[in-house]
Amino acid sequence: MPAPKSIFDPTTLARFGRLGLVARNVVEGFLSGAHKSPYKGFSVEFAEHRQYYPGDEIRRIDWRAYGKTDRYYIKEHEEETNLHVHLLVDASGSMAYRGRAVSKFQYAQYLSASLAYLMLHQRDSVGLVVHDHEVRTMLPPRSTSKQLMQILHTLEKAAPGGETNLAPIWDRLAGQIRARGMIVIFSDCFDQVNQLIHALRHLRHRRHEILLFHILAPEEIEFPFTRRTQFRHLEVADQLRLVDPSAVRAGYLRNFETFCQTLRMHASNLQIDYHVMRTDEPVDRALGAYLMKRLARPS
Amino acid sequence: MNLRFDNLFVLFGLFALAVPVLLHLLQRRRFDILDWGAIQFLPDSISAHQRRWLDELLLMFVRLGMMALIVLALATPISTSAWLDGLGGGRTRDIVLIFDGAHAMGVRVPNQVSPWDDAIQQAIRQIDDATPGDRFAILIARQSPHWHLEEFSGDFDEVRARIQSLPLPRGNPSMPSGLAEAWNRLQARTGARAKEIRVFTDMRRHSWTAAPALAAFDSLAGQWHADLERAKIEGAATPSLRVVTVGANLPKTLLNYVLSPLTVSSRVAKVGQRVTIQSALHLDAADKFIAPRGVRVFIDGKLDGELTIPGQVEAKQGQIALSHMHRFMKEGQYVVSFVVAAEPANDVLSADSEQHAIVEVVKDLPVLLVDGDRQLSSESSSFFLMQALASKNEKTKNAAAVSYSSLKPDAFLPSGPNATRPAVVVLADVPTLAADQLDALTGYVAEGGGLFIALGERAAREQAFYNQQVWMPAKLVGVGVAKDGVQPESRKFQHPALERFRDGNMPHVRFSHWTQVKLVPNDRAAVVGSLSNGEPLFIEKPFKAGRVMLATVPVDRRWDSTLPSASEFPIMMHEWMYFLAGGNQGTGILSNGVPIQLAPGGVAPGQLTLKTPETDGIKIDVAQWPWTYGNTGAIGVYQARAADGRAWSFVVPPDLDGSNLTRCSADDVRQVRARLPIAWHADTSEPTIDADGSREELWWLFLAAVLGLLCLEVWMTRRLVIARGR
Repeated sequence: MPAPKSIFDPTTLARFGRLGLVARNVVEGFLSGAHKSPYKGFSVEFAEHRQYYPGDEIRRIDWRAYGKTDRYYIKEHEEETNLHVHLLVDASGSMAYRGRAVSKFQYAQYLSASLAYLMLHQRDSVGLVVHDHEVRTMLPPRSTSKQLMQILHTLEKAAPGGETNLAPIWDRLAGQIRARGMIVIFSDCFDQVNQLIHALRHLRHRRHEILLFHILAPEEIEFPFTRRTQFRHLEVADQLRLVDPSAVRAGYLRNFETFCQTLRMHASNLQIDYHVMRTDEPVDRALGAYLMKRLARPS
Repeated sequence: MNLRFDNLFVLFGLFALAVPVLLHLLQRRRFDILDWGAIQFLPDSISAHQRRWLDELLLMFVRLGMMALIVLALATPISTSAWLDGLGGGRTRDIVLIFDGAHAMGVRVPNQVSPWDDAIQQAIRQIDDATPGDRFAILIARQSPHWHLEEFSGDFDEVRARIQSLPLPRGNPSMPSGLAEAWNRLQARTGARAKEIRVFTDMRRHSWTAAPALAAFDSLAGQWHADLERAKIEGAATPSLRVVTVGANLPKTLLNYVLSPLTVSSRVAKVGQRVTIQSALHLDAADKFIAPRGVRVFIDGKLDGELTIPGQVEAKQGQIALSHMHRFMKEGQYVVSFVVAAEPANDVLSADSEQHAIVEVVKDLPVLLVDGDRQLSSESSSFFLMQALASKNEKTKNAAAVSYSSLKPDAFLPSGPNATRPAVVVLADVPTLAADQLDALTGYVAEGGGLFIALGERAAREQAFYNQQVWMPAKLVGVGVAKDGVQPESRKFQHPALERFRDGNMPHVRFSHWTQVKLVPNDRAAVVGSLSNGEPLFIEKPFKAGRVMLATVPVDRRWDSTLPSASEFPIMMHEWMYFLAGGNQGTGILSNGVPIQLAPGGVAPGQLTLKTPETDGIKIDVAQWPWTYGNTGAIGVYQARAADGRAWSFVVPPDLDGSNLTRCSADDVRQVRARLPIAWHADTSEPTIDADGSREELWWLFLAAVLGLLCLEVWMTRRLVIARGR
C-alpha cells in the first residue's frame, strides 16, 4: 500500500490552485505540527509584557500596565524584531523544466509564497524580486498585510522565460539592497558557477544573510533517459542536441555533480545556507531551513 | 574460392536483411524531444556517443551477418575450392570421363575440328582446370565399352596423357552400355564424396534415342533407381551426369559413303570353290550422286580387284550393288575386304567405308547326316545326300550318316582331343528324336552349328514333334499334293547360296508332295526359296549363334521327288552345307561386343601376337586354352597369330545405323532425361571442372559461423546494455 502523500508534497499542493491557499496550507500545517512555537516572541499578535529586569531601558516600560497592575512590564517594541527579507525568484527559461513532478518554477512559487506567508506572519518585512536575465518585478520589503497579497499576486503573474544570467542580476541587487537583511534565493543556478560565486560573495559582502534553495528536478539529478532524445534548450531557441542518453549519461552526471559540489563548497565557505530542493520533495523542509536560519540570527 | 548454391530460391531470403537496416534507419529518424534546461552539463565531446553509435552499428552488422549466414546455409552452399578439399576428410570427387566411341565421332570435314578432336580438347581443358581431390577414369563408350584409364587417377599429367593417347573412335554406338559401365564403377567407389559422369558426345540420335537405346535406358533407370535409394539410405554420394556436346559446329549435311556388310555365299568354302562376295554402296546426304574412285577388294590385305562405280546414278541417295567372286585355292582363313576409294571431302566418315568378312576354306566339311530310317540302305533318306557331299576320291569321308535310332547325343558336340565337331547336321526325314538327342542338337545349333532339315513323309506325320522345337523356322500344317507335281521357282530364289540357280529353271526337278508349313508371326524366319505354286520350299532361320534351313521336300526319292537325280542336287547341297557351316554370323564375325575366344586345342602357344583395328600388334602371353580377349569394341579386323604359324581372324562389322549423323532434337534429349533418374547437366557454357569444382557442402561451416557470431552478438549486446545502465 503506497504511503499517503504528505500535505507538503508539491503535486498535492498543486491541487490547491491559488498560491495564497497553498502558502497558508503549508505554513499552518507546518506550524501545527510543532509542540511549542519557538517563534512566539517575534509575533506582534502574540506580543506580551514581560517583567522588567534591571538593565532594561526605562523608556520601554509600559506605564499603562504599571498603572493597572502596579508592576513594571516591558512592552517589546515590534519595530526591533522585524527582519528584512528579500525573496529572489529565478524565472529564467530553465526553471520551466517540468519532469515527473511540478516545474521548478512552480516549486519556487510554492516555496517563496510559503516563506512569505510565514515571514509576514511573524511580522518580518518581506520583499520579492522576480528575475530572469533582468529584474522583472521588485517589491520592496514590507510587513503589512497587503504585502502578502502583492507577493502572491506577483508570483502568480510570473512565468518562466528568457535566458539565464543570474550573476549580473545578483550583483546588481547586491548594490540595490542596502539594508542588511536576509536574501532567500530560489534558483536552479544554471549559470557559470564562478560568476555565481562571485555574485554570492558580493551579496555576502553587503552583510546579507543568504539562504540559497537550489531547486532541481529529479531528472536533472538522475538523468534517467534511455531513448534517443533531442534536447532543446529551454532558453536558447536554436540550441538542439540529438544524443543517445546512454552514451552521454556518465559525462552529464559527472559534470552536474562537479557543478553542485563546487557550488556547495563555495556556499559553505561564504556561510551561505545551501539547500538542494528536489521538485518531488515536500516544500516544508524549506520552512524549517528558514526558521533555523532565523533562530541562528542574533537579535 | 568458388561457391555456388543448390537452392537458389532460398537466397531470396537475403532480402530480409533489408528489414533490420530499414528499422535501424527508421529508428535513427525517431527520437524523443525534450525541453531541457541543464543542457550545459551535456558533454561537449561526442566521442562517447560516436563510439556507442559505432558499437550499435557493429551489432547490427553482426546480426545481419547471422541472418545472412542462416539464409546462405539453407541455400545449401557448395564450395568448389581446392583449399576446402581437406575439409572433406580426404575424400575424393570421382569423375568418369566417357568418350562417345562411336565411329561417327570421327567425322572429318576439311578445315573443321572433328567431334572427337573437339572432345579431346574439351576434356584436356577440364583436366587443366581440375582441382586437388579430383580423380578421373576414362571410358570409351561403344559396344563392349573399354576402360582406357580404369583406375581412378589424381595424377592430372597421367590423365592428360591418357586422353591424348585415345585411339580414334571405331566403335559401334552404345551409349547406354557406356553409362551403365561408368555407373557400376562409381557405385563401387563408396569413399567418394562426389561422383560425376561426364560424357563427351556428338549427341547423335542413333546413339541416344534409337529404340534399343531407349529400351536400354529404361532398363538402366530401374537399376539406378534402386542404387539411388540404397545410396540415400547409406548416405553415399550419388552420381550426376554432365553431357558435353562436341562437334556442334559441323555442317548438317555431310557426304558419306557407306558400305553394306559383306554377304558371302559361303563363309566356309571348299578348296577351289568359287565364293561370291556382295555388298552395296550408299551415299548419304548427297543431293546428287558423286561417284567414288572405286571400291577396292582385298584378300588378306592384298588387292584382288577394283570395282568401278558408274558416274551417273539416277536414284538419289540410293545404293549400288557390288559383287566380287574369288576362288580360294588353299585351305585356311581369309579376310575379304571392300574399301571405298574416295576423296576425303566426299567421304567424311572412313570407318563405314570398308567392310570385311572372313572366309574359311576347308578341304573337307564334316557333315552329320541323321537318317529317318532305322536301317541305312540305298533307299535311305540320307543316301543321295551323302553321295552328293562325298569327295570324288574319298567317298563318304566328309559326310557320315547315322540312323536317328542309334544316334548318340555326343555326336553333335563330341569331346576329346581328336573329336571333330560336325559343321552341319542334316535331319533327313527324321520322324522324332529322343529327349537327350534333342537337347544335344539344340545346344549344337545354339553354339553356332548349322542344321538342315529335309521334311519327308515320315517327318510330316510328326507335326507335333517339329512344331515344339524352338529352332524350327515354321510350323508344319500338312502335306501338299499336286498331280502334275510342282517345281522349284528358281528365278525367285533369294539367297546367296542359291545365287547360281537364279539364272535358269530347274526343269528336271519335280515333287508330287511337299510339306505345307506356316511361318510364325514375328519370328526371324524368312522364306528364301519357293515352289512354283508359291508354297515355301526353303525357309531360313537364325537361332542364337547357329542357323537352320528347312526344306519342305525330302532329299530322297520319296514323294516322287526327282531332286536327288537332278544335276543341280549336289551343287545345291554343297552350297547349303557350306553356307550353314558359317553359322548365324559366319566364322569370326563378332558383334555386340562378343569377345574373341580361341580354343583350338593342342598346346598353348605361349605367346600370341594380336593385331586389332586400334593396335598394330601386341604380344599377349597365353598359358592355356581357351584364350579370351574382350576389347573387341572397335570395328575392323582382329588377327591373332601364334608362334607356330597358326592364325585366326575375326571381324567386328560396323553398325550401319551408326553412320546416321542426325543429331538429337530437344525432344530427343527430353526423352532420355525423363528416363534417367539423376541430375543431368547440359550447360555447355559451363564446361570446366573448375566452374563446378570439387564439391563440398558448406552449410555446416556457415552454421558454425552463425554460432560464432551469436556469441559475439551476446557479448556486444551485454556490453551495450551495461553501458546504458551506467
